[in-house]
Amino acid sequence: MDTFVEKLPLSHIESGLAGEDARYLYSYWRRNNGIIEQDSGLTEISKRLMLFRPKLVLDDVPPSTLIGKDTTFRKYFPARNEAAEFPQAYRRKIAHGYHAALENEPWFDVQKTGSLMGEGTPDLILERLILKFRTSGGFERLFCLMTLVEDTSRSRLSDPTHHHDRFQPGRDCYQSGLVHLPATAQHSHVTW
Amino acid sequence: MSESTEFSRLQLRFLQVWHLAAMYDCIYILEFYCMDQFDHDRLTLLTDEERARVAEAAEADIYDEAIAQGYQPARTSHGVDPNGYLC
Repeated sequence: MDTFVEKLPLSHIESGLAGEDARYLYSYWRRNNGIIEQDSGLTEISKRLMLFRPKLVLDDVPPSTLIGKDTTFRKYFPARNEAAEFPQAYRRKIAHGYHAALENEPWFDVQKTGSLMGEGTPDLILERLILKFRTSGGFERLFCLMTLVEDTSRSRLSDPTHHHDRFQPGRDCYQSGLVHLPATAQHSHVTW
Repeated sequence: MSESTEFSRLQLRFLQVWHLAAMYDCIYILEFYCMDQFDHDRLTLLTDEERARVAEAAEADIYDEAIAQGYQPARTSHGVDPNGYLC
């Protein structure tokens, strides 16, 4: 049950492979140069977003503010209030994406939560898009759209004797993983 | 909201958060919280109690950011009045 985080090309989003929410969010961000205005489409997506303060915390995720009710975080961890409650080793592993987004780099990756998430937690494969938005008045937030690709705990993929060669870190692992995913497992759009 | 010229405590709570959000150009945050609680973003359709709930959920988010940008809550004899700019 190895944890990994692997950056993915943004072209996956533009081509629709990452789902409609990600495409809308990224398209909006590009079109508006990261400036957010009131937008009904974004507000609709907000239920599936986690928002973070634009604060650089070394080896850690920034403090979260709003965690939408339809996020995978809420679904899988209803008793937790924020990402900071996850084990520090896991937070360190996933922190870079937030740091990159703070520098205005649009960040898109796939991660397998694995053992670093802690004992008794589900083993999830997630896509994560992080973008920094700001208003014209200077109010900044990191928007994180986390989409559940697969709960390997349920499909027994966390068992190393099953599908051993899937989702290995390095060399375009995710694309090869996607090819083998059943159609129903591709972007089920449970978002965290 | 009622047409009375005097605001109730619930109405004031929302208006103060809304005013600060408007000052710092982040009304969208209030709409996100509205969507999260009520599945729509039309704040005007909410009752006073519902708007106060949205304000309660969003106020830390909005006040912290405003303070970071230089907003200074007024001080009263009871301590800090975060909505002091209306006083």
